[in-house]
Amino acid sequence: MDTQQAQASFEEFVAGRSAALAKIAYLLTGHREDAEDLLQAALCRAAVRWATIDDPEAYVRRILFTQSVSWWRTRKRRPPETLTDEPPTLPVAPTDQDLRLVLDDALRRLTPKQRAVLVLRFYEDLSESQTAEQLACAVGTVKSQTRHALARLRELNPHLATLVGDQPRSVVTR
Amino acid sequence: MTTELGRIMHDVADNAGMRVPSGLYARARRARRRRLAALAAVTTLLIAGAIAFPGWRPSPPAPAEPGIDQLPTVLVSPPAGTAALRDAPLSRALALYATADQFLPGENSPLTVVGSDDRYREYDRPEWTFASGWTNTILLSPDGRYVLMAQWGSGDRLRSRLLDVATGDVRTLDAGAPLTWSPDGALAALVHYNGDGTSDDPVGGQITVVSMPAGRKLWQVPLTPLPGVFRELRAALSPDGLMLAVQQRDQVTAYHRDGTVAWRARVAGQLAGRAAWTPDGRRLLLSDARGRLLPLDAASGAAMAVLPGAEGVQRVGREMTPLVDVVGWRGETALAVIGNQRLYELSEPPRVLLTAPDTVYELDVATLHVGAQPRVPGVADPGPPPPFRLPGWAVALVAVAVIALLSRRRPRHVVRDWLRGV
Repeated sequence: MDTQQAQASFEEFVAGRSAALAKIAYLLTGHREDAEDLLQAALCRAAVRWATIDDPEAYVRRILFTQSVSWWRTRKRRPPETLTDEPPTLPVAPTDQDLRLVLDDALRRLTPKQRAVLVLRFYEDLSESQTAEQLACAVGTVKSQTRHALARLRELNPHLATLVGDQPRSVVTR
Repeated sequence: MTTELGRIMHDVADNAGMRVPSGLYARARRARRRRLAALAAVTTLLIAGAIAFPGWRPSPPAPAEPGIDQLPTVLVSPPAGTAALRDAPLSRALALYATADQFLPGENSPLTVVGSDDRYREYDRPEWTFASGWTNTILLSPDGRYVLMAQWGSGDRLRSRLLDVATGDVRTLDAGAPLTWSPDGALAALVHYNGDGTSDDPVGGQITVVSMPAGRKLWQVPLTPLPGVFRELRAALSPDGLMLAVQQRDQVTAYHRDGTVAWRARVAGQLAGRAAWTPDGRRLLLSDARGRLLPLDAASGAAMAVLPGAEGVQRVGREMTPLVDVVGWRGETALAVIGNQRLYELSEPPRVLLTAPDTVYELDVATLHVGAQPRVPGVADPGPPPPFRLPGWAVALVAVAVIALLSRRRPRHVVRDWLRGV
């Protein structure tokens, strides 16, 4: 594959898949700007090796997940949390829009690894072993990170208990 | 329940509303080129800095206490990639030589320095010159720590370069160009001509005795003005450093330390090297065209009974040059370099102690703190590998730092954006 062919193939891939990849990047970062940076960085990495990549989609996804974790360590953009003694107020019956806003906010408060695990498990609908393979970690790590992430979501907003289950079987130990 | 979580996550993602800019492919390749260029530039700068900035060089070894080293029986040509003396100094030199192919008048002329345990180093001397037509261009101190070389400055100004083998540092001595070391290495005789010593007009000058290695002027004797005074001049200091014998053409003059003349004598040979005075100071040796030694009485200059020296010894190569250059003594037996090719012990019969490669043009050998029995040499050690001799961990550290700097990401960072091809 020469350079022109590689460029054409790359641009075709970006046109076809960037929307889906952008959604993953957003879920992984929680911020539009960060997500755009993350996706562009992943696509640029893929671009310089495009001619030698067998499965571009898998390659870019892998970069997204691994970079989202490593990125976060060098950034200081986790949203501040407001500490209060008041219990959260609950609307009687939250709508999907309410849940979307609540989840969007809650996801930002998870650790990058917890977010990555949730995205792979419940957005990408991968099994625990597939998730472990994507993140290059042990299945046990996926299990524990999932458990911690769901417990954290329940803690952050009781509405989310309707999404992740009411029974906090594993309480987060801090 | 978690199915619901997935559904709402899709909902969250669908509402993100993101865009991907065009031209990513070209930007990625441009960024890669820039990163590589920056990496190459930084690496080049670091390497250039390592070469230019002496502080980055490894510290030279501390000068060793003078121990007894055994000369090798054979010197070899310097191995390929032999380290420079400046980068990998030796505690001292046992031998020093220049080969015929290194003998390039008007150009730099590297020397080969041989230390203990067959360590070889090269020294790229900046000029090839000598103090007189009868002296070598390289004069190794008897203990092997220093090398004296002539330096012709502008306006016929003659100086000496003093190379410290233990550090690779070079100093300039202003008193003149080197004629000889004293047998113990504590003094040196340097000559200065009052004009162009090579001209056919009569030109005089002075020989200054200096303390070594400081180069402090101690005392001085005049040269007799002669046409071509440069061509035929030799000198030898007595073992106690109190007398200096100066030969101009066929006349030897012995001077006391106060500059007065002890005696003058017409001779048929040449002063026999830096150790031409016998250790007891009673005789002064000259060598003749047959390799014999012609002693003079050191008190009067009167000729004494001829010694066989190297007469009758089967010679090879440049040993056909008859000059016997006495470089030291072992008891009553002289150690002499003959023909810049071999070191002999002038016993009965003479014994070869060391042989230099056939191509050697000039040879000098340390004689102080040197054992009586030369050893069979081992494999020549060329020293640390070229080119930069920075320790491996330092190179690795620099490389990691450069890569980390180039890959660091900071929002709105000008360098970062440039490296990313934006």
